[in-house]
Amino acid sequence: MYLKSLGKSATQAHLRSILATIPDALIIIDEMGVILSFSAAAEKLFGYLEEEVAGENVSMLMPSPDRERHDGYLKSYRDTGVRRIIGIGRVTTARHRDGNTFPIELSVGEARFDGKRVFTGFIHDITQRQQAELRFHELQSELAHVGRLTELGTLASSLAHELNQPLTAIANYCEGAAALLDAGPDAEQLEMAREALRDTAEQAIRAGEIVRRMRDFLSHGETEHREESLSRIITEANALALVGSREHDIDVQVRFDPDAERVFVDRIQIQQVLVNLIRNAIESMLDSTFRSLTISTQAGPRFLTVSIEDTGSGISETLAPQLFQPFVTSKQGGMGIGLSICRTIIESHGGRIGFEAGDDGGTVFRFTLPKAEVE
Amino acid sequence: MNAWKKIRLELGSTSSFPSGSVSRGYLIQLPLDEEDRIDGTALALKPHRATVHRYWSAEPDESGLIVPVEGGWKMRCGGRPDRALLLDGQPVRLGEQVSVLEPDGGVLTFRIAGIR
Repeated sequence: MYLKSLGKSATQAHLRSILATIPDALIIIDEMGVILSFSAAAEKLFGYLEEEVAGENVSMLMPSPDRERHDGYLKSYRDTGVRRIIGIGRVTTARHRDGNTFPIELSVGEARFDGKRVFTGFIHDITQRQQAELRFHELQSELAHVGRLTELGTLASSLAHELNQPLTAIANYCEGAAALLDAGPDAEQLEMAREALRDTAEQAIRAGEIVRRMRDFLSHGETEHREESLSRIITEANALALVGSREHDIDVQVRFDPDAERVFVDRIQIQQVLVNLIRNAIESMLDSTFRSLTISTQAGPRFLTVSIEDTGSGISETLAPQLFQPFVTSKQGGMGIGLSICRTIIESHGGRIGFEAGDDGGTVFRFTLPKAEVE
Repeated sequence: MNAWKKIRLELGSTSSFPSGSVSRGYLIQLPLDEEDRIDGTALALKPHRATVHRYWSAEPDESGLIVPVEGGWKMRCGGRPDRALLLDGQPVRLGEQVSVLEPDGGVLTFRIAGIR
């Protein structure tokens, strides 16, 4: 409609032909979010015709909670001029006319036409395998690296625990010996022994200090804990986990508790946990006739809870007690380390992870994360 | 033999939207029998599957369940007042019309735009 309303100059005709043929979906909106133009690729991607959506709010193409937040994002930009998405690519989810949610990469630009500000959104469907797999592998390798660090961190923690006990004993023993020698007759020898024992005690304490520093370094130095938006972490992880799942026709619902938003975490690690749990949920539903995935958050006094519920085949009673142990899996070809790493990551953040049977024969996985302290 | 179906309703013509509105509607899941009518027995066995999602332009989505009431079906979303699905035993088929009784007493007509 917007393009049709443009004049007939050669430049405008040229522009129209470009917009009609670009392979990525292009949507132009005004500064209130009203759809002005909807390219041919956008029609194909979302299942709507341009004349059906022109004049509608662009938020209709988003799943909740972006749907109701989008007007606020635009207002914030109009009021403050602070760019949160313009010029930055973002992986997120979109909603097809049939109600299915699918992962996209969105790039937003800003332009002026006839003195009015408009926003251009290029939408690339990352369900198209090639680029999606590339992106996924990039994330996976990053996650694997973090996973190794996490394992190393666990190793260091247990080493520290093991070493600290004998080291403390050495320190106590040496100091006890020094006290005994204090009562000895040969003043010079006693003084030397005393000196040596004190040195031993100092060295033992120093060794403990080194172990402590190594543990601190691994737990805090290499992974990056920052205050993050939990909804953003989940939206991105969900988009990545949904790659390739569209043909399975899964009903995906995401419900965010507005009070469960700020967390102090390593974003990549938490996304590793989410991608793992969501992919497990999707795989468990492939043989089900009713496929529904619900991801939700809930605020508590000190902890936030994230739940991932599926309507899949459930977890057998024999597997359940040892599910978080390494090398335990029900999947053919699976290594069985995914949930073990998930538990390590969540516990290293001070949270807990567990599961229970869902209402419809499926499973609900839940994990908690401490709330970010508000200054 | 019944089957659970995902049914998409899109708002039909109203005074505010003479051509209807594709950004306003419902996604519902219901079991249909061989004659495409709601299978109440199948629904009673798995009532939590009978979900409804209302989407309405930029308003927050509402989610809930379709519950049987005497003489019909109600859509119950969170703490919101119920809306009645006025089917009168008619079959649920693509292209047919379905009316919804709003809490304010108004009736909105929707087109069955998708069943899968």
